[in-house]
Amino acid sequence: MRLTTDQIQAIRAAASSTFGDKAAVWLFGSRVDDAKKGGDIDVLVRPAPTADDEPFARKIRMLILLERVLGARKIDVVVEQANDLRPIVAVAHATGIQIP
Amino acid sequence: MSISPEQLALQHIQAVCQGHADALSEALQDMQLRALGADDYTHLNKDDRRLLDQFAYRYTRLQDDMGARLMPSVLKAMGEDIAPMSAIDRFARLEQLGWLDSADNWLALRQVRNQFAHDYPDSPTERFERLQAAVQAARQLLTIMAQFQRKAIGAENRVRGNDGSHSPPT
Repeated sequence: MRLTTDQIQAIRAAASSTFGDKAAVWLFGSRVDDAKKGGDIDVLVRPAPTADDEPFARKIRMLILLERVLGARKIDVVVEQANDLRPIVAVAHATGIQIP
Repeated sequence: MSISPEQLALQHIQAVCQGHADALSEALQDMQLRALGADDYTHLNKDDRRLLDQFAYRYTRLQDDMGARLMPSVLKAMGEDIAPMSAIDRFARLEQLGWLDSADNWLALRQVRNQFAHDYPDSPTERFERLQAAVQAARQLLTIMAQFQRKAIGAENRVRGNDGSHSPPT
Protein backbone atom coordinates (compact mmCIF):
# COMPACT_ATOMS: atom_id res chain seq x y z
CA MET A 1 0.00 0.00 0.00
CA ARG A 2 1.65 3.22 -1.14
CA LEU A 3 -0.46 5.71 0.77
CA THR A 4 0.30 7.19 4.18
CA THR A 5 -1.89 6.41 7.17
CA ASP A 6 -3.07 10.02 7.13
CA GLN A 7 -4.07 9.79 3.47
CA ILE A 8 -5.94 6.54 4.08
CA GLN A 9 -7.73 8.04 7.06
CA ALA A 10 -8.65 11.13 4.99
CA ILE A 11 -10.23 8.88 2.35
CA ARG A 12 -12.15 6.93 5.00
CA ALA A 13 -13.35 10.14 6.69
CA ALA A 14 -14.47 11.70 3.39
CA ALA A 15 -16.38 8.53 2.48
CA SER A 16 -18.06 8.39 5.89
CA SER A 17 -19.19 11.99 5.78
CA THR A 18 -20.67 11.72 2.28
CA PHE A 19 -21.81 8.07 2.00
CA GLY A 20 -22.54 7.41 5.68
CA ASP A 21 -20.56 5.96 8.61
CA LYS A 22 -21.62 2.48 7.53
CA ALA A 23 -20.25 2.91 4.01
CA ALA A 24 -17.72 0.26 3.00
CA VAL A 25 -14.52 1.51 1.34
CA TRP A 26 -11.86 -0.29 -0.69
CA LEU A 27 -8.65 1.02 -2.22
CA PHE A 28 -7.63 -0.70 -5.42
CA GLY A 29 -5.49 -0.20 -8.53
CA SER A 30 -1.82 0.73 -8.69
CA ARG A 31 -1.73 2.35 -5.25
CA VAL A 32 -2.20 -0.97 -3.48
CA ASP A 33 0.64 -2.48 -5.49
CA ASP A 34 3.92 -1.82 -3.62
CA ALA A 35 5.95 -2.64 -6.74
CA LYS A 36 4.53 0.28 -8.76
CA LYS A 37 5.16 4.02 -8.58
CA GLY A 38 2.87 7.06 -8.58
CA GLY A 39 -0.49 6.47 -10.14
CA ASP A 40 -4.08 7.48 -9.51
CA ILE A 41 -5.87 6.72 -6.30
CA ASP A 42 -8.75 4.34 -7.03
CA VAL A 43 -11.51 4.03 -4.46
CA LEU A 44 -14.60 1.83 -4.40
CA VAL A 45 -17.41 2.94 -2.09
CA ARG A 46 -20.46 0.89 -1.17
CA PRO A 47 -22.84 3.49 0.31
CA ALA A 48 -24.51 2.95 3.67
CA PRO A 49 -28.13 1.82 3.15
CA THR A 50 -29.25 5.24 4.42
CA ALA A 51 -27.11 7.07 1.87
CA ASP A 52 -27.63 5.22 -1.39
CA ASP A 53 -29.47 8.04 -3.21
CA GLU A 54 -27.81 10.70 -5.41
CA PRO A 55 -24.56 8.79 -5.91
CA PHE A 56 -23.11 11.44 -8.22
CA ALA A 57 -23.77 14.40 -5.92
CA ARG A 58 -22.27 12.48 -2.99
CA LYS A 59 -19.25 11.55 -5.05
CA ILE A 60 -18.63 15.20 -5.99
CA ARG A 61 -18.84 16.19 -2.29
CA MET A 62 -16.40 13.43 -1.37
CA LEU A 63 -13.93 14.52 -4.08
CA ILE A 64 -14.09 18.16 -2.94
CA LEU A 65 -13.32 17.08 0.63
CA LEU A 66 -10.40 14.99 -0.60
CA GLU A 67 -9.03 17.78 -2.79
CA ARG A 68 -8.75 19.98 0.30
CA VAL A 69 -6.79 17.35 2.23
CA LEU A 70 -4.79 15.59 -0.48
CA GLY A 71 -4.42 18.42 -3.01
CA ALA A 72 -5.33 18.25 -6.70
CA ARG A 73 -4.29 14.69 -7.43
CA LYS A 74 -6.22 12.30 -9.60
CA ILE A 75 -8.69 10.29 -7.57
CA ASP A 76 -11.27 7.98 -9.11
CA VAL A 77 -14.23 7.03 -6.98
CA VAL A 78 -16.46 4.17 -8.10
CA VAL A 79 -19.82 4.01 -6.31
CA GLU A 80 -21.21 0.50 -6.03
CA GLN A 81 -24.92 0.08 -6.70
CA ALA A 82 -27.22 -2.71 -5.58
CA ASN A 83 -26.63 -5.80 -7.77
CA ASP A 84 -23.79 -4.03 -9.51
CA LEU A 85 -22.48 -6.18 -12.37
CA ARG A 86 -19.79 -3.84 -13.67
CA PRO A 87 -16.43 -5.58 -14.14
CA ILE A 88 -14.61 -2.76 -12.35
CA VAL A 89 -16.61 -3.46 -9.18
CA ALA A 90 -15.66 -7.14 -9.28
CA VAL A 91 -12.00 -6.20 -9.87
CA ALA A 92 -12.04 -3.76 -6.95
CA HIS A 93 -13.47 -6.42 -4.62
CA ALA A 94 -11.03 -9.09 -5.83
CA THR A 95 -7.85 -7.00 -5.72
CA GLY A 96 -8.64 -4.13 -3.34
CA ILE A 97 -7.87 -3.58 0.31
CA GLN A 98 -10.82 -2.66 2.51
CA ILE A 99 -10.39 0.33 4.83
CA PRO A 100 -12.26 -0.38 8.06
CA MET B 1 -3.95 53.95 -27.51
CA SER B 2 -1.42 51.30 -26.53
CA ILE B 3 -2.57 48.08 -24.99
CA SER B 4 -0.28 46.16 -22.68
CA PRO B 5 0.77 42.62 -23.64
CA GLU B 6 -1.17 41.37 -20.61
CA GLN B 7 -4.32 43.09 -21.89
CA LEU B 8 -3.82 41.59 -25.35
CA ALA B 9 -3.36 38.11 -23.90
CA LEU B 10 -6.52 38.60 -21.87
CA GLN B 11 -8.52 39.71 -24.90
CA HIS B 12 -7.34 36.68 -26.86
CA ILE B 13 -8.31 34.15 -24.20
CA GLN B 14 -11.61 35.97 -23.60
CA ALA B 15 -12.49 35.42 -27.25
CA VAL B 16 -11.50 31.74 -27.07
CA CYS B 17 -13.64 31.18 -23.97
CA GLN B 18 -16.57 33.09 -25.46
CA GLY B 19 -16.44 30.75 -28.47
CA HIS B 20 -16.77 27.75 -26.15
CA ALA B 21 -19.53 29.51 -24.20
CA ASP B 22 -21.55 30.20 -27.37
CA ALA B 23 -21.26 26.58 -28.54
CA LEU B 24 -22.13 25.32 -25.04
CA SER B 25 -25.25 27.52 -24.97
CA GLU B 26 -26.36 26.06 -28.30
CA ALA B 27 -25.82 22.51 -27.04
CA LEU B 28 -27.82 23.28 -23.88
CA GLN B 29 -30.69 24.68 -25.93
CA ASP B 30 -30.75 21.61 -28.17
CA MET B 31 -30.66 19.30 -25.15
CA GLN B 32 -33.61 21.16 -23.64
CA LEU B 33 -35.53 20.57 -26.87
CA ARG B 34 -34.67 16.87 -26.84
CA ALA B 35 -35.63 16.52 -23.14
CA LEU B 36 -33.78 13.22 -22.75
CA GLY B 37 -35.03 11.00 -19.95
CA ALA B 38 -33.18 8.35 -17.95
CA ASP B 39 -34.40 5.63 -20.33
CA ASP B 40 -33.23 7.44 -23.50
CA TYR B 41 -29.84 7.71 -21.91
CA THR B 42 -29.34 3.95 -21.75
CA HIS B 43 -29.74 3.59 -25.55
CA LEU B 44 -28.87 6.83 -27.27
CA ASN B 45 -29.41 7.35 -30.97
CA LYS B 46 -26.64 8.78 -33.10
CA ASP B 47 -27.82 12.40 -33.00
CA ASP B 48 -28.29 12.40 -29.24
CA ARG B 49 -24.89 10.86 -28.68
CA ARG B 50 -23.29 13.55 -30.86
CA LEU B 51 -25.17 16.24 -28.99
CA LEU B 52 -24.00 14.94 -25.61
CA ASP B 53 -20.44 14.65 -26.92
CA GLN B 54 -20.61 18.26 -28.11
CA PHE B 55 -21.97 19.33 -24.73
CA ALA B 56 -19.27 17.44 -22.81
CA TYR B 57 -16.50 18.75 -25.08
CA ARG B 58 -17.50 22.41 -24.82
CA TYR B 59 -18.19 22.18 -21.10
CA THR B 60 -14.76 20.65 -20.54
CA ARG B 61 -12.99 23.17 -22.77
CA LEU B 62 -14.75 26.17 -21.23
CA GLN B 63 -14.01 24.95 -17.71
CA ASP B 64 -10.36 24.19 -18.53
CA ASP B 65 -9.66 27.37 -20.49
CA MET B 66 -11.32 29.57 -17.88
CA GLY B 67 -9.44 27.96 -15.00
CA ALA B 68 -6.04 27.51 -16.62
CA ARG B 69 -5.91 30.50 -19.00
CA LEU B 70 -8.61 33.16 -18.50
CA MET B 71 -8.29 33.39 -14.72
CA PRO B 72 -4.48 33.66 -14.71
CA SER B 73 -4.72 36.27 -17.51
CA VAL B 74 -7.19 38.35 -15.53
CA LEU B 75 -4.91 38.31 -12.49
CA LYS B 76 -1.84 39.18 -14.58
CA ALA B 77 -3.66 42.03 -16.32
CA MET B 78 -4.45 43.38 -12.86
CA GLY B 79 -0.77 43.29 -11.96
CA GLU B 80 -0.98 40.30 -9.63
CA ASP B 81 2.09 38.09 -9.21
CA ILE B 82 0.55 34.69 -9.91
CA ALA B 83 3.79 32.66 -10.10
CA PRO B 84 3.75 31.56 -6.44
CA MET B 85 -0.03 30.90 -6.44
CA SER B 86 -1.53 27.41 -6.65
CA ALA B 87 -4.70 27.03 -8.71
CA ILE B 88 -6.76 27.10 -5.50
CA ASP B 89 -4.96 30.30 -4.41
CA ARG B 90 -5.87 31.92 -7.72
CA PHE B 91 -9.55 31.08 -7.33
CA ALA B 92 -9.49 32.45 -3.77
CA ARG B 93 -7.81 35.68 -4.97
CA LEU B 94 -10.44 36.12 -7.70
CA GLU B 95 -13.13 35.70 -5.06
CA GLN B 96 -11.45 38.42 -2.95
CA LEU B 97 -11.32 40.71 -5.98
CA GLY B 98 -15.01 40.14 -6.70
CA TRP B 99 -14.64 38.23 -9.97
CA LEU B 100 -15.80 34.88 -8.58
CA ASP B 101 -18.78 34.73 -6.24
CA SER B 102 -17.44 31.56 -4.64
CA ALA B 103 -14.08 29.83 -5.05
CA ASP B 104 -15.62 26.75 -3.41
CA ASN B 105 -18.32 26.62 -6.05
CA TRP B 106 -15.67 26.79 -8.75
CA LEU B 107 -13.97 23.75 -7.20
CA ALA B 108 -17.29 21.89 -7.34
CA LEU B 109 -17.75 22.80 -11.04
CA ARG B 110 -14.22 21.55 -11.65
CA GLN B 111 -14.98 18.23 -10.00
CA VAL B 112 -18.08 17.83 -12.18
CA ARG B 113 -15.84 18.48 -15.19
CA ASN B 114 -13.34 15.87 -14.02
CA GLN B 115 -16.06 13.25 -14.03
CA PHE B 116 -16.30 13.57 -17.82
CA ALA B 117 -12.76 12.22 -17.93
CA HIS B 118 -13.59 9.39 -15.55
CA ASP B 119 -11.78 6.15 -16.25
CA TYR B 120 -14.57 3.79 -15.26
CA PRO B 121 -18.08 3.55 -16.67
CA ASP B 122 -20.66 4.80 -14.19
CA SER B 123 -23.82 2.91 -13.36
CA PRO B 124 -26.87 4.02 -15.42
CA THR B 125 -28.40 5.76 -12.37
CA GLU B 126 -25.24 7.69 -11.75
CA ARG B 127 -24.72 8.49 -15.42
CA PHE B 128 -28.10 10.15 -15.68
CA GLU B 129 -27.58 12.03 -12.42
CA ARG B 130 -24.20 13.16 -13.72
CA LEU B 131 -25.78 14.53 -16.89
CA GLN B 132 -28.37 16.48 -14.92
CA ALA B 133 -25.68 17.84 -12.59
CA ALA B 134 -23.55 18.76 -15.60
CA VAL B 135 -26.42 20.71 -17.17
CA GLN B 136 -26.81 22.71 -13.95
CA ALA B 137 -23.05 23.17 -13.75
CA ALA B 138 -22.88 24.31 -17.39
CA ARG B 139 -25.49 27.00 -16.72
CA GLN B 140 -23.47 28.22 -13.75
CA LEU B 141 -20.32 28.20 -15.86
CA LEU B 142 -22.01 30.38 -18.49
CA THR B 143 -23.16 32.80 -15.77
CA ILE B 144 -19.61 33.05 -14.43
CA MET B 145 -18.26 33.58 -17.96
CA ALA B 146 -20.78 36.42 -18.54
CA GLN B 147 -19.71 37.97 -15.24
CA PHE B 148 -16.05 37.80 -16.27
CA GLN B 149 -16.86 39.51 -19.57
CA ARG B 150 -18.68 42.33 -17.76
CA LYS B 151 -15.89 42.75 -15.22
CA ALA B 152 -13.21 42.69 -17.94
CA ILE B 153 -14.92 45.51 -19.82
CA GLY B 154 -15.19 47.50 -16.59
CA ALA B 155 -11.53 46.91 -15.71
CA GLU B 156 -10.38 47.91 -19.19
CA ASN B 157 -12.38 51.14 -19.06
CA ARG B 158 -10.80 51.97 -15.70
CA VAL B 159 -7.33 51.36 -17.08
CA ARG B 160 -8.02 53.63 -20.05
CA GLY B 161 -9.83 56.28 -18.05
CA ASN B 162 -7.93 56.65 -14.79
CA ASP B 163 -4.51 55.17 -15.05
CA GLY B 164 -2.29 57.41 -17.19
CA SER B 165 0.61 54.96 -17.14
CA HIS B 166 -1.23 52.67 -19.57
CA SER B 167 -2.19 55.42 -22.04
CA PRO B 168 0.44 57.34 -23.97
CA PRO B 169 -0.12 61.09 -24.32
CA THR B 170 -2.12 61.89 -27.43
